[in-house]
Amino acid sequence: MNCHPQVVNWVVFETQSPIRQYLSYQARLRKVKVPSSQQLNNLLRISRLDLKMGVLKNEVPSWIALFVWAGIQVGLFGYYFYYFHTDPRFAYTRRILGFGLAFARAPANCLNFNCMLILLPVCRNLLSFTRRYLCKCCLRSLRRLLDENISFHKLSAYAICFWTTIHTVAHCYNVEQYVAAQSSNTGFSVGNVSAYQLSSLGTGQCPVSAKATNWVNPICDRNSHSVLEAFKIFPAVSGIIITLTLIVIVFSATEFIRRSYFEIFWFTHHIFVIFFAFVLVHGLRGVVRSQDASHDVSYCGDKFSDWGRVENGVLVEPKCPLPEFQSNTPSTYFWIIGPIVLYIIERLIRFARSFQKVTISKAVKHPSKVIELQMQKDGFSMEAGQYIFIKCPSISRTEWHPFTLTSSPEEDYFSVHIRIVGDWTEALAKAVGADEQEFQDPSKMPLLAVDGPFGTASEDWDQYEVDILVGAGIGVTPFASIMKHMWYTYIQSKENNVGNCKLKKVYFYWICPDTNAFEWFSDLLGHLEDQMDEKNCADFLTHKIFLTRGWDTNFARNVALHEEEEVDVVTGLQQKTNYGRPNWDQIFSKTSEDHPKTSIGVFFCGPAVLSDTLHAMSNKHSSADGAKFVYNKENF
Amino acid sequence: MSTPVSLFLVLFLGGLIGTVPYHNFDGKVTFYNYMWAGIYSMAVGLLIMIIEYPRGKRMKGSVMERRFQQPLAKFVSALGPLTRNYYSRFIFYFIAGIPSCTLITTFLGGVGLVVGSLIYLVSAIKGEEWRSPTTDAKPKATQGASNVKYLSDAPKNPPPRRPVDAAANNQI
Repeated sequence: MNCHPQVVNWVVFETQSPIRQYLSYQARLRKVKVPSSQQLNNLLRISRLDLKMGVLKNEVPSWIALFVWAGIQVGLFGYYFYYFHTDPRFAYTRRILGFGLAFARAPANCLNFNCMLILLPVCRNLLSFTRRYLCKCCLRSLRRLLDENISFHKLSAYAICFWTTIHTVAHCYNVEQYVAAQSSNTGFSVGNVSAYQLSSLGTGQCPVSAKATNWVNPICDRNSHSVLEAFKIFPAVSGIIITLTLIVIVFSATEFIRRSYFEIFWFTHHIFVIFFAFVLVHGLRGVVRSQDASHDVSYCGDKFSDWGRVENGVLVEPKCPLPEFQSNTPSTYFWIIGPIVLYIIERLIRFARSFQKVTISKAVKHPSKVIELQMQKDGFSMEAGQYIFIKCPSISRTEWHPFTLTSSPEEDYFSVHIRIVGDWTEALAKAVGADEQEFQDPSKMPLLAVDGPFGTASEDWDQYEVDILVGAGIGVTPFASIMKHMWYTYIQSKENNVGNCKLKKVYFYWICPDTNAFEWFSDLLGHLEDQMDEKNCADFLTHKIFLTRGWDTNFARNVALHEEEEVDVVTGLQQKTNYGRPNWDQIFSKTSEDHPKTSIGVFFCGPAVLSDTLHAMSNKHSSADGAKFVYNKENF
Repeated sequence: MSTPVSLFLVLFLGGLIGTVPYHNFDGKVTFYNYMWAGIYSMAVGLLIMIIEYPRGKRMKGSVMERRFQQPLAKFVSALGPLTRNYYSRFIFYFIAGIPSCTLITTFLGGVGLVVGSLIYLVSAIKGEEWRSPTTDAKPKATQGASNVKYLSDAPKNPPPRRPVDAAANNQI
């Protein structure tokens, strides 16, 4: 029986590229770490990246968006830094604070800009609306940008952290300077007006009143303590609260917490309400002040003793009255009120949706702890590859869970397949009666609320002649709906000449650790295969299954014995299962050979590492005169 | 959680800025008031990082250990109830936070410590404590382990081999 493990050995090796194969053999000999195929791909990518067609098509829109976003911030920072550092109206504030003024105010404007942006990408209904109504006419690449919404949300968040750090540090310095200026006794110099002299203005009465125009230093008490004084200034107090909420939000949103303690992430993320409430009022007190133009700084700067001095009923220096100080006009309002309103509308829509009636028309129990819910709802219209959020008030009033739609738009219901893996899904399965032998009648079904559907990049599949679909792990689910829809559209346009279907050929790659969890999906594939055989269109879909784990020597022996049979041992499908990971380099070059001068859509749903590989592959194998691979990604 | 990184960053950065002298409005080299609190905060930040770095075992489910956490986990375990018990962590964080509140640049870090201490108080009341994830853990199987099993023999056809396309009938 010695030969069988050898067979396995062969299978393992041939599914890997020769370079990696050699490296892994060498590495085992030397006990060093094997570079992953991802790392190898990166090496290849760097050497061949250059200015290829694929790069242009896939990357340029997001580069432009990034460039514009960063450019606006650099512009805002530069403009306001220059303004606050040179404008004569801030000369006296600057006399006390120095660079602290410009370093606090310039990032403040960048913060306004990012606080405006950060809410928009999480308005899923707004995005869906934009995609559907405003962008039908635009470039596809523009629409694809909308799928990067969460990346953009994170990017704005990083920017907020960055500018907050500068803003906060600068204001700590500023408070310290204000306190020091009020406490220093070195000030009565002959030359330029001193920080202490300026600070003494309008401090006859403590605390200074916000409406009074006679003070420039908001700190009133002499020889006080900066932290105590900060507590007397509203912007400082609100700033502390804002920064603390920001720290909590950001550090409870790390990937580790999102994966392991999702509820903590979800609930702490909602203290953004406190964040925005205090951001709105943070600048209202207007503590940073400028003096009015009637007081000429360049002339009066060294005549402090004559400021506003009256002799015989006239000003000694008519150009130098006591300066009147005004607050900055608060501008945060104008920046962020729009997105806040949009976000409130978004939440209202979600709230209203939770009251719309959803009927569960059918619940199906699939093997391997999967339940299928078929539902109906008035006014529900979907497109293939979209997803919905489901809430079950009898389980939890606050939790919305995302599920991919697995029905196609042609069907008269919409369905989701739910795998029972956690507390919520278990409770749901119980509620629909999945643990009983007979299913309950629809009247006993629990009430559900459905929000959506929401769009993803897979809506664009009909733009290409050839599509490559790659689903990894749980990521196959959207392709259930998409492939059904593709098939219906294709056969309709072929038989009845209805519609205009560009699509000629679909490749589907399904990569999974074990097929058990997705038996329902292979049922669906089998169903499609039957239909295609019936209509003599078996060429339309080529699917390949890659089983990456979950097989051992016995299993391999079994596979080897059934080598000659028509259908696959595991799935019972006509196309044989492959073992190990796919060799993308080969697959892509083969596909581009088969379909020269074609625009090929690559659609992926699954883990990020593979997404990067496929993205790089799409860029690498595209050329001006050969096939063009356009990379699309689903978001979860 | 990410307490170590966040508190460390805030305390350390605040402490650093509070310690560095600057030229004031009169051009004099000046230190922040209570500058010693800056040095203190940097030290506390480091200490917090050491205590918080090794992830504890979760009540339910598995935990992914931080890289190189094991020596620190041993250190935290070795200190016994002083670091494992959340009541003592509550008291330590609370007291450690107060001096940081005296310097304006480390004030945020100080408040962060006090807030963190309150979270520990809640956890302690719920009966949680830090448990080392490594004490009873089996050696982790490496990813390629299943392949290693079949690698008793070297490949019969050592590299470099035939062109990829010739050997590729398993793929396309």
